[in-house]
Amino acid sequence: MKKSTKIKQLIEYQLLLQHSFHLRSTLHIAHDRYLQFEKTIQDFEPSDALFRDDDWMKIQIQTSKELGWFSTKMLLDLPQEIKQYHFGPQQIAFCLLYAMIEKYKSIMQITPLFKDENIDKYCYENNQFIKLLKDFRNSILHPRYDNSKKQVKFLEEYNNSDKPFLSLLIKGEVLFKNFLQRIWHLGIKEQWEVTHDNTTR
Amino acid sequence: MTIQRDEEMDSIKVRNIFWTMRMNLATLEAFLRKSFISPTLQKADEIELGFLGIQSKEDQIKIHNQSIMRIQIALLFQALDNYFEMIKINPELRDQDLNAILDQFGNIDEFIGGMRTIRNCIFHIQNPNQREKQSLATFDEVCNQKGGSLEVLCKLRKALYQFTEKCFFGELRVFPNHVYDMMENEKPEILERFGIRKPEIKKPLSK
Repeated sequence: MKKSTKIKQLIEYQLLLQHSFHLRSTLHIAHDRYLQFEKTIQDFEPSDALFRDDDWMKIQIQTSKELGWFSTKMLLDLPQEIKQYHFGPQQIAFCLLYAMIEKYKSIMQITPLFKDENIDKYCYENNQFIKLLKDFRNSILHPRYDNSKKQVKFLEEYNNSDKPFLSLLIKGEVLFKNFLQRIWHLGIKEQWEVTHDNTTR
Repeated sequence: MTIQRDEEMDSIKVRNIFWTMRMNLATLEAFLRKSFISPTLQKADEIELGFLGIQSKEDQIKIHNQSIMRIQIALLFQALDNYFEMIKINPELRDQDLNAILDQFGNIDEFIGGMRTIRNCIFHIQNPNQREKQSLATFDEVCNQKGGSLEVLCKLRKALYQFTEKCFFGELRVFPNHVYDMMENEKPEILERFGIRKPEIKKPLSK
């Protein structure tokens, strides 16, 4: 294999590895925010399982108190913002997962080393989910007039899908970690050691 | 008639972007609050963040904090980009205070370019080209000069929130006039609920 190809593989691997750290950190934050949300709603009894705007207002006040009132500036706004505070990190995690899938599909065609049957199977079996992820990611990164429709669609599917989106998110993250571990031992490690030796001489 | 319709469309676009900006700021808030792990306060042996190939707890904490910082910068860029888009459509929304903050960072195109590069790395896993690496270096250099990335981030975030506050209270007009009239009547009740001071609805700045 050409040296330039090996170096390219190493660069792509490092990018994906760095990205896996971002995704993992985001999942930790998402989990913390969810726990905080659970704690916040324990302080009062919502009217029913589906929160009304009044309930969100109470959550908003409570969260604002926890965060220090005016320093947050989240005081006079729609319930959507307080929802975004609690569930935004989870949404970012979905975007980061999609980025990994997108990157995988592009580099997999460049080098056979990066091909992974488990990820291919995951993408095949959850094709509709991944299409939704793409639209959702684009609605966050590139605001358009129909943003809210795409985001509402994603949330509707999130709540109604027979395959829980959260499970797919976690499964995706695990699959990519396994993939990175596998290709490290299959060839990346060797190239990293060669590169590292060259730079330390 | 066509001009009026265009103005109405522009107003709707600006309001949509405004709400998008608030959502980006809300998500940024979620990543900002109690998200960093202190290497000194936290017992290192209790940490297990699960980063691939990272054994040392200290390294795990460092990587986590760096990741969170980069994501915060990406989200802040999103909100800042929303602001620039709003003032492009309606230059009257230009906020002098926010612009004064941005002026502190030198070559603003390079500075914002650095933030954009970070955003693209996070959300597209892009390998920066030479020009992007240069703008990233500029961004990092400016942050180092101004007290660190977190200091810069908090300053910009605060300025953006204050911009949105001006929009809410009417100093910068994002909503139709009847909305501000309604808020002036209803706001005292809302503010009493939160138990805070009662700001006045401000008249728009004279041209």
